[in-house]
Amino acid sequence: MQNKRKRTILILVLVFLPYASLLILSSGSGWSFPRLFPDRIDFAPWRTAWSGRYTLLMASLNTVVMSIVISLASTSLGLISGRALKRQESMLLLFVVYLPFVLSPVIVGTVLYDIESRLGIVSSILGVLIAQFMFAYAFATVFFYELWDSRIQRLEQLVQTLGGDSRTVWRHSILPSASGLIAVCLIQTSIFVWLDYGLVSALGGGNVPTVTLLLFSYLREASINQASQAAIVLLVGSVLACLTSAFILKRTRRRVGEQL
Amino acid sequence: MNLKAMNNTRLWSRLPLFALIGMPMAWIIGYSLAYSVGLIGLFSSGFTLDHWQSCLSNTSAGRSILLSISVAAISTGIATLLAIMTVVLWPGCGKNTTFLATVCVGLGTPAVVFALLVSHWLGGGGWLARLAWHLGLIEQPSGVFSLVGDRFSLGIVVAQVCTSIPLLLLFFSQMWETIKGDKLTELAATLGASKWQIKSSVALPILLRRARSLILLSFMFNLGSFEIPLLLGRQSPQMLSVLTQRRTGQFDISQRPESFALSSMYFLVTSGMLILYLSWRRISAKQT
Repeated sequence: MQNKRKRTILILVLVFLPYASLLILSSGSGWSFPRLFPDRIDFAPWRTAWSGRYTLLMASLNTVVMSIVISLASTSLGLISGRALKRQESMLLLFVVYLPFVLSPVIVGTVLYDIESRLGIVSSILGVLIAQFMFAYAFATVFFYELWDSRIQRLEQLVQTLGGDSRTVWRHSILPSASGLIAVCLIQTSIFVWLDYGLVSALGGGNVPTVTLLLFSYLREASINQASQAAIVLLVGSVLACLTSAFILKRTRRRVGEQL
Repeated sequence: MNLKAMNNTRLWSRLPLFALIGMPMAWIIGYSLAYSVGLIGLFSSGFTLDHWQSCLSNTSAGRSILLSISVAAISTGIATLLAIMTVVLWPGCGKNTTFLATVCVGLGTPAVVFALLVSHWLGGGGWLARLAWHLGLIEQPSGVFSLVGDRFSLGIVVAQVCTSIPLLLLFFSQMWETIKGDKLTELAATLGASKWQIKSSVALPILLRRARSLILLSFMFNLGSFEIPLLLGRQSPQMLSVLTQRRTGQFDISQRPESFALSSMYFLVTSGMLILYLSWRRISAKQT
């Protein structure tokens, strides 16, 4: 038993040790060879994170706002489209929604650049949001299509049999039953925007500050401490979102199990 | 509801998908193809396959395509093998909370962070090189084999394996529970199969068959990977996504048709794989 615990601790240390390096590097300035730790432990990246032109705080806030806008729009539309797709399975429609899901955003972004520049929206937040929406909407549709429960369909039929119109069906069967899935989809589409670099770099032209863009600009400047700090911000946001999604999905499954 | 009303509802529910995804995608692929065959663009002079020919005969583009496919295949293969080995050697992992939480952290780790970690630990001046120096094994950072910009793209493979493995681990561990792997292996053992036979002839084929669509999806994600090769890749040959982005962003706009030819190739290959993926899924759904 004790051996098993020791083995678990050893595996956890091996898995999480690389992550600790980000914390160590972000806590100081410089990292000259052959030092194992930063040259000075002065927490400079964290103290200066709030000053300057493109600060980490500003980039984070901007990315959060973009995430909220895209996740709300794509999840609400994806819910309708995913449900419709489930009811009328068509290979062509599946191909259409899966395409952005598997294509590289940066390659799509480079092609979109020409089109958006003709429309005059390149290098603007609108241009980036439109491209991100297309990807997030496709993801949300695939998400609801894949996870649409037969139980929700039965509830819909029940409400219809009892004389409910489409508004009643949405209000009393779809929205309450799919609330867990909706929450997870909101989180996942937000993560997509939070972590996007391909579209922002191809279409934003440096005018749309995001955390990923800041991280790459730090790497280009060889500011390893700031880059580690930006990586932590990215990591914390996305890991928290992932854990929350897993928790919600587990709770939803348990609730469904209890109801059955 | 009468037939006409049903058809109307179908049409309206399909409209946003075609208008917001189908049409832009068709436009993107069509634009890319038209540009690559000289039908549009600044230097367009009518239909020509010159850009495709020069792209395919150009050693740099050819090497880039070959590199992208081989790196994606090797990364996906290693990640699949590691995930299957973990589940087969530790059959109860799908119920272990620590395992699931660790996988969840891995799932939430962005590709760019994995790339950064590889460069921090396995790069020329990384932690391993520093530890080796303190242990007296090397005298200079160049004394260790750096995985940043290395000749064999090993750094990219390591980072892509790290990004692919959490999803595959989660899938295989849950699949093991679904197919009742423990009972299957017990049955095989009572029928006289050795431990090796149980793993290689029972567990492995079942898991691989069920996971083939996910493996293909993982390959497609690795093929289109951008941040990892951007940080860890060499200047030449570059992975497809990095090469396309660099060629489009260059000041020399005469290279743009070639860049669009590369994008078109990528779109066609990925579309073909997507059709294969959807067909496999349909077959699996019919079988279950």
